Amino acid sequence: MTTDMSNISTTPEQPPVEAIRHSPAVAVLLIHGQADLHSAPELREQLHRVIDDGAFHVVVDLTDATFVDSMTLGVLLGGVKRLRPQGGQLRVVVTQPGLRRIFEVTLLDRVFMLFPTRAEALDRL
Amino acid sequence: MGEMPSDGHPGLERLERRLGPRTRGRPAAIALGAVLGLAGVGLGLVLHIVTSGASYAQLVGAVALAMVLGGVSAAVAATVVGWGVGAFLLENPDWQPVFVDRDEFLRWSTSLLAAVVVVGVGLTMRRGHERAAVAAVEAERSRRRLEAIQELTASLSAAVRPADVAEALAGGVVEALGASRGSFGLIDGADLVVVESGDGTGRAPAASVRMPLGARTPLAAAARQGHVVWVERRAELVRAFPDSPTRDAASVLAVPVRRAADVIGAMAFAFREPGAVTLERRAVATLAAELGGQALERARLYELERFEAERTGRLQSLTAALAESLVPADVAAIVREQGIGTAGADAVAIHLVSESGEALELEGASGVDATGLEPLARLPLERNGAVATAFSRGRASFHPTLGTLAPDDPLNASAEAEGLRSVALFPLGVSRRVHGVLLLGWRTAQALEPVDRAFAGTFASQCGQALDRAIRYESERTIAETLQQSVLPQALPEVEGVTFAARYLPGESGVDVGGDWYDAFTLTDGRIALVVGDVVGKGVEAAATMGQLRNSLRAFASEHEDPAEVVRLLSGMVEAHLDAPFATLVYLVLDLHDRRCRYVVAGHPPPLVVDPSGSARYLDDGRTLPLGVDGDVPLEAAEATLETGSTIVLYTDGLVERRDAPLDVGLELVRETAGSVAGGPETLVDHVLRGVFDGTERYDDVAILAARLEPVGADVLDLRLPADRDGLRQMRSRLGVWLTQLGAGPEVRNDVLVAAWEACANAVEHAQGPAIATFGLHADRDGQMLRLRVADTGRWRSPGPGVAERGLGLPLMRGLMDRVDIVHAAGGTVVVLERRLDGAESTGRSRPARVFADIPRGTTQS
Repeated sequence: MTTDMSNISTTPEQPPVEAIRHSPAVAVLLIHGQADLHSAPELREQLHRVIDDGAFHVVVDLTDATFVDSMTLGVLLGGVKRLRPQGGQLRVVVTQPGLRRIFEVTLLDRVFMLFPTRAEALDRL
Repeated sequence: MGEMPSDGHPGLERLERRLGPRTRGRPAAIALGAVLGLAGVGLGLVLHIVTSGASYAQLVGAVALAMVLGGVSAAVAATVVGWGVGAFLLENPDWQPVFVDRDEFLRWSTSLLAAVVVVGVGLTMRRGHERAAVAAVEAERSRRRLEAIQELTASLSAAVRPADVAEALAGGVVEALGASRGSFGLIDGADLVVVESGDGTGRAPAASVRMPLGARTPLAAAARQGHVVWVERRAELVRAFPDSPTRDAASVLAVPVRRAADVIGAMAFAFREPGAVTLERRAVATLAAELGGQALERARLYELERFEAERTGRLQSLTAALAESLVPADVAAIVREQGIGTAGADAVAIHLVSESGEALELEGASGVDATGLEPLARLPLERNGAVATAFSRGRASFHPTLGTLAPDDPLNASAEAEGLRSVALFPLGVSRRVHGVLLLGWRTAQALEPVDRAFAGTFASQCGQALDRAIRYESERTIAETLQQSVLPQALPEVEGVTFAARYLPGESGVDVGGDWYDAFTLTDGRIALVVGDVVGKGVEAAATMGQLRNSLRAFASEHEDPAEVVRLLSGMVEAHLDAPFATLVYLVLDLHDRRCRYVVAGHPPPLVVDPSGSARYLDDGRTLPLGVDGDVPLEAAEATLETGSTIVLYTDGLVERRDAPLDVGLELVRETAGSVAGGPETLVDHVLRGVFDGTERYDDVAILAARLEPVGADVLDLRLPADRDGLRQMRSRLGVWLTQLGAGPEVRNDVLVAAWEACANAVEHAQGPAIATFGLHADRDGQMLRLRVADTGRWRSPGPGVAERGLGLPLMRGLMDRVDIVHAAGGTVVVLERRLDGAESTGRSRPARVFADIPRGTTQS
């Protein structure tokens, strides 16, 4: 497995989801702009792909996300379900309080591990 | 004359004494004559009974009379003769010459003559009476026969179907003949279909059975040979017809039944007694067979007529149904429904050529299982097969048996799976344009007679024409619709201080896409441009013209401030470059700073302004000729200043023109309706459309555009947006602006935006149906309480097991809002969201979210 960055995009503009292989066992998914029902299929695909490619832990970075909806949360939940049986973790980087609140009111902050920065999320993985 | 010794009988002696010696021999002669006479009577009676053949009881009256008369006359004659013979024997024992004297001769000859006369008279009388008696019997028999035949005729004429005829014959003739049972057989191929009559007691006949035409039975023999067959004794029956049931038959009579010259069947009758097949019974049976043949012919003609009427009815309903079907799928559905029963077909399948033109694809079927048709689902045209051949040659083909198909024809497998024995294939289309193939299938082998083929062919040709029409129409309509969709704005501009609403309704006849359009956009200087236009013409051409007008107008509007100049340039362009004879429009520019609008009405109905008070008026100035019409009418824009809260309504003529009333009436109706509504432009537009078109058919298409000048700091937000990604994003940005205006804090704003997104996204997911699907959001503030209503036209997707990914919307809304209500109504689902503005955090968080039930318990962050 290579460790260099693999960038998969579906639109010529800024891709909604960017996959970065941080280490053989850790993948980072960088989400840009609106993470909603329209970008959810792309996120789901990328998430499955990095897990299938051998990522043990996945960090979803929402620092650049402007909006997160229930569909996106659902996709992330699906990722947790896939990672947990093998002991993997799905960590979420949430900087903005508005987005953090979404996780809190749905109690998903108890399911995902939330971190304020990517560095902290990647620490000890 | 010698002395005759007395034999001592006192009676005779007394007689002798009285008559004298010359008559001594007379008493004996008389006695002898009486004996002879009585013997003659007895013999006559016996002979009579034996030879008459009639039943004794019926003959008693007539025979008794004849007997008495005959007996008396015979007795008298015998007495006279006996007297003469006795006298001769007694008085002339020596055989002397008889006529010794004249007296003697006279006496003898006279008595002989008298005897002859009396016997003659007696016999004549007896014969006469006998003849009368026989005639009476004969009349009685023929009356009964006639009655039976009459009854049979009556029941035959009441029989309308061949089966009724068979029943009437089998039963009725049994009764007329006095047979123990009867059977009626109709030739069907190599078989006889036999109906048993039972015993003529009126019991329902047994179900018909099949008997081979070659069977050794009297019935089959009569049908085979075409003449009457009868057997007089059981032994003969067993020998000559071993296949015949003999349980109660000693004699059997079978007669052929004909239609015109052809033998079509036979009837057979069994009798318990031997030798029962009299000439009379044969005659009755033959007559009945003749009547039966005629009745069968009548029944056949009746059935034919009924079929014909049914066919005509079928074609009529087909034509009516097809006339209303505009798209190929509709046509296919009708063919599928109505094909069953066409020429008695049990199965129908329709193949349409694929878009690539390389294969035939199964479009629909009825009367069959989908699995059985699997081999026919897709038929590449390069591979041969009966279906593909019917398509590529454009010719119908009939397969009374499937043996004529090539062994590798996929039709074989399907027909076998579905139990189809006969198949007919028809190309669907018109002469050179074939679009598909119609398959009719029968589960029983069919000869497919010419009349059936012709009818099925007519059916297929009607369907083909409708299909061709639908396909051509669809392609044109698709293009026109696409063009029009591209012309109408996907979303109305988001501008502070103005709310918009617009609708486009196609004409209800649905035949053509119209040339109505609308547009709204922001000019570079911040003013707002509103346009509603109408291009004369329909379909692709009109839609293309609309597109050019819209783009040109946007271009001119960006460069020229004066609406009159924009319209002038547009008119020039139409005249110079466009084929459209003319187009009309209203172009209006609104300046939000001073609420002043400038407008031009080019051959179009006038704009309507509804004041906040509810009074509505038309803007009647700024009129000029339609676009593309060269004229010297001065072109100058008119001006009007509007109050805050006013709504401008632009529309096309379809809204105000009515077939049953002059234009004034339509204009007045719209003005009154628009003035009688409170609410935003969305409400107004819907109210006007409902008020104008409720209960009446809309002939033309209609475009309507409304814009309201909102008061600053409005507490109400009323949105209706396209049910797509853009609509959702617009909703978010406009709701965000509105929330900021209300002074909502960042957390409330964030929460409301997320919850509203979830509600609207669900509405969008459910948006279906018409081309322009929308969702609505209405938000208002009541004190510190924010209330949002989101309406869709579908059903709220409730979270179920395994849909955790989608099921988070509701918990999320509940977590963010103080209150979430979901109301399912007939027209769709309404989600009501409530949230206090004063920042108190929602209490929804305490509610456990059940979506996590299926998450595997693992390490959770502490």
